[in-house]
Amino acid sequence: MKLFSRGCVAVLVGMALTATAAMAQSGSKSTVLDRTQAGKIMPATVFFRGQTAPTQARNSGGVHFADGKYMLAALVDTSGYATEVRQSYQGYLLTEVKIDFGGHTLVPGAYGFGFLAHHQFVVLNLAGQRLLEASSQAFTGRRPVPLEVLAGAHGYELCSGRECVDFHRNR
Amino acid sequence: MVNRRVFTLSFLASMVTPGLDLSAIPGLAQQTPMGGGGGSSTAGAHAAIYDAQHRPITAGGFVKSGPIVFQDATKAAGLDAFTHVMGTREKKFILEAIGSGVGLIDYDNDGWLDIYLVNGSTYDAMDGKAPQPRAALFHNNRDGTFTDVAEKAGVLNERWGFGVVVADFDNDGWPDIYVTNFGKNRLYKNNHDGTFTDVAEKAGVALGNWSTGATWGDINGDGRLDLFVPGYIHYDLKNPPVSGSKAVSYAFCNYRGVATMCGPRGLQGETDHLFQNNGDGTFTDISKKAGVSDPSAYYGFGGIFADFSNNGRQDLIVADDSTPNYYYSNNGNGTFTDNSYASGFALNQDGRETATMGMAVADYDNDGWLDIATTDFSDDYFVVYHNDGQANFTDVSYQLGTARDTIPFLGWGVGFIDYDNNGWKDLMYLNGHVYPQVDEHDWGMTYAERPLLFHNEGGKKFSLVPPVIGTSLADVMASRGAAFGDLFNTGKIDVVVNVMDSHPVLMRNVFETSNHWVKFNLVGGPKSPRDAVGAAVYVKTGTLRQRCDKMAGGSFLSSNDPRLHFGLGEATAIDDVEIQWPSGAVEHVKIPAVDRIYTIEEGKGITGEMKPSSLKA
Repeated sequence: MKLFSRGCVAVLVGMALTATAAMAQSGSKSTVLDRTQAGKIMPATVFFRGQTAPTQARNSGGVHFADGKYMLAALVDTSGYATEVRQSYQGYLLTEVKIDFGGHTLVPGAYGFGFLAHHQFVVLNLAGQRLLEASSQAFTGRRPVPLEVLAGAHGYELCSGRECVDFHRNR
Repeated sequence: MVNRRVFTLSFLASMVTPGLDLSAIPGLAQQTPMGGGGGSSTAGAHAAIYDAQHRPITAGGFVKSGPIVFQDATKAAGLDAFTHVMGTREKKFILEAIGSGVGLIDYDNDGWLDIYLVNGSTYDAMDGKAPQPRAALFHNNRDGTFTDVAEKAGVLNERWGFGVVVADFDNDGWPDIYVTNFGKNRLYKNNHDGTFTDVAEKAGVALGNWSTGATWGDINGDGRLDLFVPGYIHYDLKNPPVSGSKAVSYAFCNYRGVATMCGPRGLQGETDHLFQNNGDGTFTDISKKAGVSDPSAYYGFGGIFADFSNNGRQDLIVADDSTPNYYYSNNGNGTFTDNSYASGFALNQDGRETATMGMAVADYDNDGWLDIATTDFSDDYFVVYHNDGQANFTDVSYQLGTARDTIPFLGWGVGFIDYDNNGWKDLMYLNGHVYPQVDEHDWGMTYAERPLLFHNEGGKKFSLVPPVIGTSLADVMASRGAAFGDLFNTGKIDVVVNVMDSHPVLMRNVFETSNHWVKFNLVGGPKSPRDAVGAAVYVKTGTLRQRCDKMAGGSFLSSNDPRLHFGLGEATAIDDVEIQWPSGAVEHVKIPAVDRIYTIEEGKGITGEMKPSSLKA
């Protein structure tokens, strides 16, 4: 218990420091959104590859940037999709700003995304075609959740389970 | 035997894979980090595992020799007089696929466990075109046989039944039965004469849609048992969830690309309910005020009240299918705090929502804290959550060695049972798939599956007990609810399984051992529930200090032996028995001899003693 509490404190302090760094990087008061905050503005259902499916508000996160614009992500209930679609389409991403994943820029829009084997992160257009691939990293030391957005060392992190991918706003 | 696939010894003689080690098979590694298993949460499709005869491991992997733990005593006991029925065999809708539970109850207070088996229903019966399938209450004849007295007892249910939980809600010294249904639930009050009266409507606990595994516990220390009833799916029989219909979020419900029934994901969930016992035969729904109403309508399968934080209060855990599990900390004032994520019980170690079906609660490593085992869908492992103290749970499934072997199985009933009475609680799972279609594809899964029994190696590791041909561990069946208890008062824990669309299976414990045991039947005092639900008992023998808690409801849709059983190993004397009563009183009792069943009344010590029976299997 004590060990875990100290671990939590360490993680929280680390998150606070990186959040501060992220805010400084983006200019002023960008805010990381937790599942409650992001779940309120994420659409309940989303269209992708010929179907509409429910998003999981409980597994959502995002960033509210200082200029009022948003980046939102949520897992999608993909049970109604064919296996080959589900293998890469796990979540939905909405962004009002340009964001950068591993050196690839994503313009404002709506996308699908997935964390694949071998630390691979993919973003898909609404037709299911791959737009970009980036490397993700596995983490240890804290309890993973299905999806969350965190302030990270280089901006922000989009995490699913134990895998995280870095991203930042691209100006 | 209808649709039950119990392989005969002669047939299996040519299908043996000695010592098959699933952990050594590289193909077991998951293929995708996040995958969809039809309408259930899984870890993605895994490679199929076969035995040497190319049978899926879920219905294979048998060995010729090994420890004989359970023998099938169904027919000898007369339990094959009951046949479970639930919808159609095609399982086109999720309402047909979940199955029903088992309640162990000594309804006539004669010191011998009787068996209550819940039944499902059919569409014709629901339309009034056919008789409703009936539940069974098997009276224990004390000679190894049972007689169904459900009709005389007035507990036929005759609704689309799922769960059963036994407790003395009115503190009159006689156990009552709560049955959960699709439709209104039943609260069968024991009339003390072998009959029961359904008082659910009058009591205010009938509800009306799809209720599942209920649990009783005294949440506020007033000495009266309160009732928690989880909800699964908000279901409309007239508008069933067909792919592409308004009842389903998807155009195509499938598992691995093959059309299947829809759900639970994509369907509207049902909320949970907590009823406070008013002490006058009525209850008040305090779900929202207490903070356990489940506003997100997760797919609840079962709840268990127990003290996970060792503060004398009954906390609440809820098994949720393909959504996060709940852990509610009891605040001591009639309210709870949702600590699901903070406690570590909401998800597995990969941060994945699991398709939790059944739950078992016990202190498996004898450290004084209650741990939790859960069952899961195929293509994911069954989770064991270790309580690190103060209800901080860590998923230790892989460290314990239980995870890999469970991945191909779809588990339901689960129990921590010390089958060999060595003082360390072992772990047993009852399994069976929900999709009949799995038998038609080369996925390494079967609709009917064998049980899994893991032996506890001193609280640090568990090892799989091999399924010996001709024993019940090699029974292949579409298991659902299961209850664990000493049906024959021999000091050995037996298992009763409610099998989908078939006869139940009585797995009689025939394990040969000279280990000793003791069993306690607790009676609470004026400030505790009369049946002492919520009590914790610690038994010390040498350096070993074991804990057992009195709970009402558990496994899957089921209710276990209400007596607390302790295996003692070679010990012939007990150093100390400490009872922490629900009232808060702590009592130490001197036990004169082992291998006995003692009745202990709060504040009065031992008031009854029963020697073991000599009933042979």
